[in-house]
Amino acid sequence: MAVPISQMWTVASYVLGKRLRGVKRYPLVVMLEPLFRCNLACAGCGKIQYPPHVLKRQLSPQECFDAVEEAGAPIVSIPGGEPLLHPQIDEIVRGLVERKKYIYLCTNALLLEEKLSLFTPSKYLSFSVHMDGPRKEHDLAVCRMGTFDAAVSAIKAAVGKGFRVTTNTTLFEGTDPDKVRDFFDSMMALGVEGMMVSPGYSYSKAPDQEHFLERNRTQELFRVIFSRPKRQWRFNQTPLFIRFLMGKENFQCTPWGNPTFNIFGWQKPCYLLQEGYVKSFQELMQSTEWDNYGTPSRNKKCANCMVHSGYEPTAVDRTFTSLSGFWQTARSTLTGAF
Amino acid sequence: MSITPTTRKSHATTIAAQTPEPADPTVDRARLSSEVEKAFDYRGDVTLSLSRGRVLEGYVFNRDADCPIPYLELFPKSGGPGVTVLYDELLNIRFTGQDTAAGKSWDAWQKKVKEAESNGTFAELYPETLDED
Repeated sequence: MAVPISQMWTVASYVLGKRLRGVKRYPLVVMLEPLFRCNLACAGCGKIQYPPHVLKRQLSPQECFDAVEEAGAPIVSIPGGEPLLHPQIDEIVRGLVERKKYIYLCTNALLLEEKLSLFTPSKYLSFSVHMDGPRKEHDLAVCRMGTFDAAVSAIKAAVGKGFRVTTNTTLFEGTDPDKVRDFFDSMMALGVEGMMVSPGYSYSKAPDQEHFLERNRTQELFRVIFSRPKRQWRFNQTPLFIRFLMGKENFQCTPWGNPTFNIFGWQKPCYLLQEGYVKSFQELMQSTEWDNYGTPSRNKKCANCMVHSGYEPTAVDRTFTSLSGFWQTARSTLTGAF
Repeated sequence: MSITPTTRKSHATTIAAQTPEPADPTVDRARLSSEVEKAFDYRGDVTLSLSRGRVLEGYVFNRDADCPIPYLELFPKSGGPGVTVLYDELLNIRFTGQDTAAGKSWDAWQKKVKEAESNGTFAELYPETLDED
């Protein structure tokens, strides 16, 4: 089992509590971007293209705590930029752990070994290491040689010190499914708790606009990858989301499920689109025209998106609020098949 | 729901002019509003010419053209908290900073990869240095 029981219980009781109170729209994961600075310049990333004076800015720990507390979600993902470049990242993590938030600190791991001593192992803290496939494919995706080996070394060090470690893999057009299957084997052999996988999103500001998967291609690729899942593979995401990627579930996007807070404010409408900012989470929820997003809206920016930040909240909601979703999840957990 | 700049609960912005003078009737407001949209989409600094002869250079990270008193928000290049500028204060926008998203196409990257391969090396990309501001 990839996710600890306590985390599952926290999420399940949170979702059911919201549904029992009739709350239709609620956040599941706060995407907390404390800075946009990064020590890589990946071709598929549209998050770091800002003038230097903007890249030098960062959220204070208190701004992070206030945002997380206002949203109230049980899980906080800390992407960026590279969060380990934030000089107070240890204070931010410590404060969120004290607030009993389950944290996924997303990192390329280049600084992880050096900074491990800043952190204390906790059931609330996972390092989510960015790994875009086997050595050659990963180094090519992040445009830097030696990154795969550095990340593997850091994963071993973190696992060895008792930290929760997961991997986070983005797949692009041209991915070889057999190599991905071998890659899953090698990640599990490192002792990671679980893996996350998602198709990439075509950021309008990313250098690479051409190698993102369209919806049909995404489903074809994931059907091949997961057609014969291995028992040792563990995923830090719901079986229903994987079934969605395979084209076996028809979900709608939940753009408010992973609200994003960064130096500009609360981002409208979601983690991937930047259509404006507001000062409070409440204002985000009340002022965003949610019907303008997702596939039913026919918004072109949403047409090919199958990213976990939009669809995993849908899968989680379905898992805990429908009999068929719960049954499918239980079946996948017991048999290992999707 | 739109919130006007004067009533916004702001954690990072100050208002450039607390008591803006009436909008200059000679300024083409529709054109400027369109320029603000371009500035919001632009990943570089702009220079704003404002009423009373003021000039502001920085990165436009937000705008609201639909609220009762349209405004934009900008991080000054010189540092400090964000600044809110009312559309009525705006006279002109110039795109003066480098577009940090430009010139980094996939084709350019692939060309670099192929050149490196032919030389028996590995192409790499590095983040912009933060000192060349």
